[in-house]
Parts: sequence; C-alpha cells; structure tokens
Amino acid sequence: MKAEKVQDLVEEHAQETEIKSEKRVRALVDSEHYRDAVQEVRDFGVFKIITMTATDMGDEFEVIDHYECDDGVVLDLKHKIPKGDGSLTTITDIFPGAIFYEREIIDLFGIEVEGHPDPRRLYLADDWPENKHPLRKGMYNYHKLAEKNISEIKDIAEDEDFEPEMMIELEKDNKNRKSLLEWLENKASEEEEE
Amino acid sequence: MTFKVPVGPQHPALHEPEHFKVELEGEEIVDVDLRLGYMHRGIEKGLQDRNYHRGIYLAERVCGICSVAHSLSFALAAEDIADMQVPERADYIRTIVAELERLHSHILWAGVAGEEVGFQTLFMTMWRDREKVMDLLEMVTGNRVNYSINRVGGVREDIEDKHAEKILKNLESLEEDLKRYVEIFPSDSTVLARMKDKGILPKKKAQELSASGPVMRGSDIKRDVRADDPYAAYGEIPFDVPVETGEDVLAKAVVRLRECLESIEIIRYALDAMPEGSLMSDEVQGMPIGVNKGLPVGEVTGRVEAARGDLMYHMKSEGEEEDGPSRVKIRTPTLANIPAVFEMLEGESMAEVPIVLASIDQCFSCTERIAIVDKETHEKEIKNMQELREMER
Amino acid sequence: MGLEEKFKKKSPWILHYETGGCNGCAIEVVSALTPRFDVERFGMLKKATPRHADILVVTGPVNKHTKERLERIYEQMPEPKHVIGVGTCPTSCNLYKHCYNMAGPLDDVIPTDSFVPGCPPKPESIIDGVVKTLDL
Repeated sequence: MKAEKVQDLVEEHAQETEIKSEKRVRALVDSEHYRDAVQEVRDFGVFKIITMTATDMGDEFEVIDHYECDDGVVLDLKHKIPKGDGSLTTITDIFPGAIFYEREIIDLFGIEVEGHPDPRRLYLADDWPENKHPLRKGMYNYHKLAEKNISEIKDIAEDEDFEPEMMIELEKDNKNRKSLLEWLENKASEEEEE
Repeated sequence: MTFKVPVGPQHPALHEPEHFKVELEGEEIVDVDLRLGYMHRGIEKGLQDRNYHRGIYLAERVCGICSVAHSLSFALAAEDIADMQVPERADYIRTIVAELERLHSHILWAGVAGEEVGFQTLFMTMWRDREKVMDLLEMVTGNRVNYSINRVGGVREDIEDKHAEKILKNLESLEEDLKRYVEIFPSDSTVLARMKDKGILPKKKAQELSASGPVMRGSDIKRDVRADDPYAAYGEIPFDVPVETGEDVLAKAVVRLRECLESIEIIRYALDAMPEGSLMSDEVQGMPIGVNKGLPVGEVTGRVEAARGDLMYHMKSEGEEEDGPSRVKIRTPTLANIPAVFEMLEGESMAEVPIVLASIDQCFSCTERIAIVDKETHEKEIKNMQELREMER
Repeated sequence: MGLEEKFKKKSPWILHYETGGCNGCAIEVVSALTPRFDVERFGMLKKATPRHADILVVTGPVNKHTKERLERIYEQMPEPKHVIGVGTCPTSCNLYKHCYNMAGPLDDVIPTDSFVPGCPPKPESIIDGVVKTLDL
C-alpha cells in the first residue's frame, strides 16, 4: 500500500494531511470528524491499531491514534481535546484492540472517554489518590523542583495546575524542603483566613 | 454458578506481572479480568525529565529481556528527528546484537514453556544452550543484560574479527541444538498433549484484537516490522518471516523456533557483509547528544520488531534548547497481546491457564499464588502454581 | 551450632519475589538454577510459597502497588528468615529514583540482611551473596 493511498483515505475528513516519509502519513482531524475518519480507515481494511498517544500541551490535549496499514505504512491521526469539559469518544466498537489504550489515557491523563465499556484504573496503585493524573503538566517531580531556587518554586506553585501534594517527599537534607514546606503552610493558612 | 479464581499478582512476569481474575463455570473458563500496575515505574514521565543521553539508559531498562529493542527504538526515533545519518557499520552491529537478543529471548521462552507443561528437562537443557548466546553478548557488549550498546548516532563498541570467529563457532553449535528442538516440539507426546489445539486464536480475531508478534504470526498473518518497514541493516539482508497456520500454542512455539534459525542466518550474513567504517555519526562530535545540545523540533513514530512483537516509540522534541524529549510514548508488544489472551482463554479449562498465558511470551515465571474460593461456603483454599501444575498431570 | 542451624545452612530454600523492575535480575536469579551455575548441588531450591522458604530474594525497585504484597509475603515466612536484595534497584531504586511510582529502597519497607549490587549482578555474585548472608 502506498502512502498516497492512505492519505486519500482520510483526506475527506481531515483538516490537513502530510506524507512525512515513504512509510509515515500524518493527518489532523477535528473532533466532530474523528469517528468518521476512523470508520473510513477501518472500512478500507486496516485492522491494526498500534496505540493511542496523549500529550498535555498546556491549554489542550492532543491525542494521536497510530494505525498500521499494509506494507508497514503507519498513519498518525491527531485530534485535539480542550481542557476542562473536553472528552474523547471511544472507538472500541470500531477497533476492539483500543480498549487498553483508552484506559491508559483515562488513568494517566484524566481525560474522560465517552462510551468506553470498562473505564477502570489500569496502571496506578489502588491507593493512588483520585483525580491526580501523573502525566499532566502540573505534576512535577521533586528532583526537578529541588534543583530550582525557592522563588522559581513559588512561581511554579502559583500555577493553577500545580499539585503540591503529589510532590514526592523532598530529600531530608535538601535546603529547599524546609523553606518550601513553610511557604506552603503559610499560603494555606492565608487562604483559610480569606 | 461460577467461581472467580485470582491468578497473580506476582505472576509469570510479563512486562508487567498482572493479576488475572478467571471466572470458571465448572472447569471451563467463561470470563477473564485483569489488574495491571505491579511494574508501573513512571518511565514515560522519567524520560521527559532526562536528557537524550541519560534517556537511553532508562529506556533500555524498561525490560531486561528486550533491552536492545528499546534502546534501538529510542535511538532511531531521536536520529529521525535530527535526520541524522548513522554509519553503515553501526547499522550492522545494531542488527547483530538485536538478533542475538532475539535468540536468547526465544530460547528463554521455550525453556519456560517447557516448564509450564511439566517438561522440566527441556527447561534445563534449553537454558544451558542459552548460555552460549549469553557468552557472545557478554563478549561483544560487556554485560549479560542491559547492554547499553546503542547511542543516539551510532554504537558504543565494535565487533572485531576475533569476536566474529567466536560468534560463528557458538552459532554453529547452537544451530545443531535448535534443529533438534524444532524436531522435538511438533512430535513429542508431552508437548503435543499440552500444546496442540489449546489456546486457539482464529485469524479474524487476531486481526480484530490487533495482536502482535509471534501471536499474530501463529495465526497466519504475515507481518514483521523488519521486513515491512526496515531499519538498521535489515533492508540489505535477505531473510524469511516464518508464519504458521495452526492458530494454537504449538503454532506459536514453532514460529519462535523457526525465527531462531532465521536469526542465525541473519547474523552470519551480517558478519560477512559488514563494511568498514566509523561507529558514530559525524554529526555527533565529542559530546553525546543531549549533553551539550538537543534535537530540532519534530515528532516521529519509530518502530522496531522486538522478540515479542512490534515495539513503538513516539517521540516529540520542542527544539534545540531542550536537552531532552518533551514526550515519549512507549507501546510494548505484550500490552497489545492481552486482549488476545482473553480470547484464547475462553472455553479452556483451568489447567490450561499457565501454558496459554505463557504462549504470548511473558518475560519470566516466578512465584504465583492462587486462591480458589467456593462461592457457597466461602472456604478458601490456597494453591500455588506448583500444586496447580500437579493438578494438570 | 544447633541442629536446626546446621541443617539450614546446608540447604537453604529460596523464595524469589520480583517487585516491579525490568526483570533483568530475575532472569539472572533463575539462571543460577540452570546447569551452568547449578545451585541445586548446594542444596538450594527455589520454592513457590513463603511458608517453605528460608531466604527471600527480592529483585526490582519497590513500587507503591507491590509494597503491600511484599510486606505480606515477609510476614508469611517462618523464622528464622533472611532477606537479600539482589541488584542495584532494591539497594537504592537505581535510575528509577526520581520516578513517581517508587516507594523507596528495600530496607525502607522490610528489614534486609544484605544487598548484592549490580545491574544485574552475575549469577556467580548472586550465589556468593546468598552464601555470605547465611554465614552472618
């Protein structure tokens, strides 16, 4: 199968398409045409979905579906989901193999998937707190914070996506730990007073 | 009336040892459920925090058995973003090490499958033969597991003539052993009784559920990333993609053994055809990529055929100021085969659970605990895997 | 040396538990059983249940989900018992140290007798580690 053929498949529903190389085709669709494009791909005879990648871009999520067509040609189908009340529509009725990939997105990003037959936790531990999704942008790892100085940490902490409880405990002799914890406590008591 | 039997979690470690909940009606399995998460380490997030050079070390420790496939896929994706030309000699060395890894992985699997069906002697003899491959890997790369042979831009070590001699010698002896196993598997009565017509995955179902690797090739679907989308030196080496039509566990086993024989041929061809040249790309001068500078803006999907199936890395870079990727997505082949396992287990009896689970090639089999709970009396009977296997005999 | 101690030293039974690493050390532990290294000639057997085991060999970094299972397995082992952490992961979490799902090195979770560092350590080192632990 040539890359051009794959491009033709999704041309109708896509905002833009691109042939990146001999075996890689990309397409961007908007949310209303997402399922139509997927159905078109399935009807043509493509049966294998490799996976679904989600990325947090700051003000929206990008979800890319990767399909393997004949002769090793890979189609990357991207669509965007706004943060807040945006949600993904399931494609497990078209591609049953996508069931785990959508669950992974629910688990690690907290994006809702409408119509998913089994939207349970996939990877995170039973006692991992609800609504804290590790691959979102605001979930900082402590070692990156430990390298910054306290004023930079405060800037990050002002960001509404920042989740201080998810910070793994800073090393006990880290100089930032004490001042950061004090600052967070002060901030919490200020908010209480308001 | 159905029983629910938990299998796991400390389980025939796949990439992630799972906790299966198998629902039985009498002796027949009617439903299977799964809980993952025992091996979740947070590597995708970890790769975002590291530069490209340190990222290779983290990527290759996603799995100890297919470690070269991971580091190769990471390096290929990074090189694709930068449009970097890797010298030919490096490509051939990557191919040789990748095929050695496929050999050791398949022989490991065959030994474990032998243990699952109660053929302990097969387990011991195959792992003894596997040591021949481990010696070669240690000689070429310096370590038996987690080799770190790949860098972004090339490879770290060379394969000299004296190494090539030893490789050919060990492979000759291994080939004799493998040909014997290829004869034993489809004709031995123990193996036939436990593997033939068990764990059937019809071709249509394999397509629908997007299975991958030998699981898919045992059901008559001829796809292999090395042939369809060649990387490293595979475009220049002639080889066959073995496919079986049996659809059962035996077919998958035979596919793996035949792939081993193909791997030996690929290594021989590569050693013969390997050109002279440097080991690292010209664009990587001095410092490895990621230490001084990053990669240009780009987003690529890199694929590699690991021993268990196709492995995908999707990497995104935000520009040269960032010394590491902004997003790496890894899709390992075992996750793709889990829906297929559910399909294969339905209709089988409880005694088939170990071998059917093993047929998708988990990484390793350790201790397992199983509790059989009688719904009426709520009496719990704890059996371990040893006792379950005895039940099967 | 009491009778029990004497026989325990002669033939320790091992339980291997993988807490969620890359499986590299797990393969090396199993390789130690195979004909090249062959620990069975020392009387060491790999057992399937904690109730029969004298030594718990733990590989892999402890992550938040397996921590509870590990503690339960430790409790189920009868005294006297030893715990060995094989690999650099139980020693210090290795390179996963800053990843979000880690619960810490092994001795934060259960009392550990010894560590055999390496990524992975060779089977000969592992056997050496087990023998030295028994001599403690």
